[in-house]
Amino acid sequence: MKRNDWKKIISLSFFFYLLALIQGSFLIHFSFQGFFPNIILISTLLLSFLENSQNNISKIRGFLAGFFLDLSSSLPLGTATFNLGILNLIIKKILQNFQKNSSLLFFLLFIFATFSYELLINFSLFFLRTSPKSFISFFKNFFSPLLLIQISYNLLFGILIFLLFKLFILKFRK
Amino acid sequence: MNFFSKPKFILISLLLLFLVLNFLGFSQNLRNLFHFLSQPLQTFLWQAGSKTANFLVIFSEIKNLKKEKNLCQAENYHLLSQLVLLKEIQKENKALREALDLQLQKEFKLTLVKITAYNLTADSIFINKGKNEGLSESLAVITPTKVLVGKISQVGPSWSEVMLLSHPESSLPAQIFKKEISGLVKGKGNSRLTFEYLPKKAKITLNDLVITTNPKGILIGKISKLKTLDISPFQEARIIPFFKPQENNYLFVLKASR
Repeated sequence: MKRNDWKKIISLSFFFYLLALIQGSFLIHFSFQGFFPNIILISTLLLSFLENSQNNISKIRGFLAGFFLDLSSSLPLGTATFNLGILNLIIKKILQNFQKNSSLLFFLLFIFATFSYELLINFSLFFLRTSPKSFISFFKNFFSPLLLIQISYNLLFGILIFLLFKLFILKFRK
Repeated sequence: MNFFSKPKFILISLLLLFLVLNFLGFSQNLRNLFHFLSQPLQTFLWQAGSKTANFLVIFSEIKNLKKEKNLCQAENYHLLSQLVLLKEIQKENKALREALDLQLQKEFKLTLVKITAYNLTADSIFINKGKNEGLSESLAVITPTKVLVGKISQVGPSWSEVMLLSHPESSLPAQIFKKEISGLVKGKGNSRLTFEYLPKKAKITLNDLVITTNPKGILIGKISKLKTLDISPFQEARIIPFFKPQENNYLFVLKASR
């Protein structure tokens, strides 16, 4: 690995560390129906969507983001790391086959990513719990209006940040 | 071969790492370290978030605040009117209690009325009940403390005019309490009362109480001044009436003696 790569990893680590703190301490006051935006997930997705490269850093970015999510939450260490890391790899694979300038693609990808993340995390917790497992009750609890609220809230923040970023990039390029 | 170019190797190595961390209990230590290092910044962010959220809530609550203010104002007015009503009930209650104490209800059929206006120049007052409540002319009116006020001179549907004892057209037989000295109480206008046709030889003293004869025992006033005329076989006295309109709110109309 090159020296630059390590610098990028350290910068990314610091970036996700700050996001984890902001998410856990600042944004918690802006909750809606008990949900608050998952800005680590949003930023991971945005970075995947907006960058052009397929380098090694982009592959481990999801794992790094998930790691800090694990640290700042009460999830068993590794839960968010693996889920977000795998999700990031899947997103990158999807993006290889589509044109990235489409806002509709971003919109759809975002919904898919949020839904998948929630499903993976909840399933991981369901699997790791020692209490009696019932798949029917799991799906019954998972597919509730609350899921829609979570996705919508994340989407709202995602769109805002996406638009701001696009405006910033356009201005910078001019 | 670049290790990081193979996702499988990344996944396997991470899986092993986290298994080790979780099973050996290092995950908790790692979390503790994270929180220990982050605490100052977390505290700052928490307070900043709380202040920002409180500030933003103001804008969303403005519409509600105005609505809430109007509701509170309406409730306040309602409560004030309730308070006024309660005070009136309190006064009414006090009057009733006084009447009960004097056992007036045993002697007379009573109708509770309230003074609504006072006609100073005409020596009369207005009360809040009339024909609809069964009142008629010539009915006597007394206070809860059994003081004679006057009699009803005019009756409307829901109001009546009470001619006070001091009215020039008012006159009634009366006597001095405990002395069996009888005479005629006459009104002279402007709140003045005289006790006339008193026997010249009768021993009347100042502050003697004057009461009615029929019905017996209702207070009228007290003797304030005596006047003797040489040519007349009678003496005259000035009476200070006990009834003062400004000191009373509730009165009773005597429909009939029981």
